Amino acid sequence: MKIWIKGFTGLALVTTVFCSAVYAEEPSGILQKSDKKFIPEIFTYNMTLRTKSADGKVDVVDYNGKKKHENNIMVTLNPVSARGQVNLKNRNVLWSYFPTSDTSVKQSYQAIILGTSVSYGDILAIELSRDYDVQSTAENSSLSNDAAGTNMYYLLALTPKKGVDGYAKIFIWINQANFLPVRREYYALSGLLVKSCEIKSISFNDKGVLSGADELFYEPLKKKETLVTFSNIIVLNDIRDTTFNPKAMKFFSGE
Amino acid sequence: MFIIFVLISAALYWTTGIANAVQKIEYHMYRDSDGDATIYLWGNYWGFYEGDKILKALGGLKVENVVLERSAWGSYVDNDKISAQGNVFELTPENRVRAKDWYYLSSGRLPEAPGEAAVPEARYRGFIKTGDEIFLSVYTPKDRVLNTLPFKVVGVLKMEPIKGFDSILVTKEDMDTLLDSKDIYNTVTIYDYFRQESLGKPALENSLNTLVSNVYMNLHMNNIMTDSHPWCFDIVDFIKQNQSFVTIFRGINILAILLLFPIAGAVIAITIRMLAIKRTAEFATYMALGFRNYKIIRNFVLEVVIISIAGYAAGIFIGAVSAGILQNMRVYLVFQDYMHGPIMLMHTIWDFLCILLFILVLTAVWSIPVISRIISKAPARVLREQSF
Repeated sequence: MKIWIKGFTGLALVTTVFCSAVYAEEPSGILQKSDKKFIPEIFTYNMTLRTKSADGKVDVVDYNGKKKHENNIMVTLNPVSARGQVNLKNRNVLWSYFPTSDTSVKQSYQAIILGTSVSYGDILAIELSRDYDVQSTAENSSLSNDAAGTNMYYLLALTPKKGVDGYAKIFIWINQANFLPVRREYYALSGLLVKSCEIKSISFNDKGVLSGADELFYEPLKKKETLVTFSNIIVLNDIRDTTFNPKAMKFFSGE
Repeated sequence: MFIIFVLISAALYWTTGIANAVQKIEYHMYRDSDGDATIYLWGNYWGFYEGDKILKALGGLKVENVVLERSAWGSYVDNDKISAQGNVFELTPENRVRAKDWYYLSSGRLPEAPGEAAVPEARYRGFIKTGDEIFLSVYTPKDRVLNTLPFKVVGVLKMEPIKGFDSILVTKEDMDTLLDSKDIYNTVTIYDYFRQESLGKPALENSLNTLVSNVYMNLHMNNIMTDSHPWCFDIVDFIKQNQSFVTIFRGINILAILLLFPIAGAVIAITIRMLAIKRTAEFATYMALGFRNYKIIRNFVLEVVIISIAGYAAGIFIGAVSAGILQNMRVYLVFQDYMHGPIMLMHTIWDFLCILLFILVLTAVWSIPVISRIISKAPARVLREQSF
């Protein structure tokens, strides 16, 4: 009897180790692992969008945000003209609240945040594994901007999950050594590159938790780039679900 | 006197042009564009349904014509100068016929080949012009993925009061590519007015209302447009609502003529009298030479008619030039919420003939009695004494 229990326990252990290994190598597993490593499940943050237009003009927008699982809410702090505007992702639906007109509207994922080159979906739906399936994977890929050529990358091709709005295809390069994303390219169904994103820096605190990140989005169609900076990240155990209720947007707006 | 005729002709050119434009816009353009009912579908696939399914749903209705079209609402228009939302509308063969009459271009032309687009001026004024490159993005209705295509702007539309006019126009082929589908539609236009017109107006209204109700019911029964918020353009209601508005513009011409006839006529009469008195010596000479009164009157009136025709031509020219300048300055007029557009004048050959006829009648009515009175009532002897 004891031998049987030992055997069963051993078999379970081997199976778990084997499954974990397979999971780590599965395409969706790579994306999930990357998202988990990069983005905490529940946290508050500050975010700044610095947009440089083709004519050299620079616009800055500041937000304060809270994120819990797939939900995300951002309150605009600056510029003054947009202060109090709230953007919310509640499951798969995006909302915006405009305090000047006291109205809430559903937003499209692709709707551009005015004056920037990022869409609401780009900054509210930041965990790609929630909205995209991995269509194909390539290992040991290189990146043209990795001059030293010392790093190897997973190159994943993503397509949106059924029923989810999204880019027709996203290519994402993930560092094989640390599973952190390095670059994303966003394509339309026509094959046109509509946007790219280079993750310029990611920093972690002493506990190994994300403390800040810089992502540079570039839109070749508009010749415009936006540097998205996450800072002051505080990881929390929980945020009340009511925070992400569309009805709460007016409250967070400060109205 | 020449200047008076110039002013009268220019004024009538403007009033007839505006009155014609408004009348056409208010009735024919809406009727031609939106039929008796235009129904924008909502529901599955963001309001898109298979064409066969829609036609099958409406198959039981005996209507003159059903037109299925595609409009990509909530699209995105981008280039290095603008990033905005907009609608994209397809130029089907039916729409091209409509476009010939109702699409006014401030520059360029309508799209002919894939990769070409025309944009509404009112939405993108100052941002997009003919020759620019733009990128149009839509979510494909079936898979809901982003699709973006580059377009060259080949024309800029002037007005936007009717179906499709507020949209960026692209070819049917490009709409197929943008939506990644050829057989789905989200706009249904029903035409049945002319078939039912013989029923008489009250019966027609009831009949069209019944028709629209039946269209809704048939679509609902076939699980089309089930989500709510359907919108219907009912031509009968629309015409009724705006009848007074149209009547005002129809009256502009009549009002102008009623005002111009006595006011301008009085000025013409006084001018002619002054001219005639100044030329009494000349008339006396004609009489001394044996001219009969009617011949002198005829010659004088002929002179006035020649001046009036010259003034008419100059007035029409000035009216056209001033209208052209204002149109190029893109001065916009807003008539209530549903109609707005740049200053636009529409004329037919009959308008020009009517203005000319009015000028000639005005000339004749106000000049012949005046000159006749001066010549016929004054004894030839007096004229002779005055002249020698």
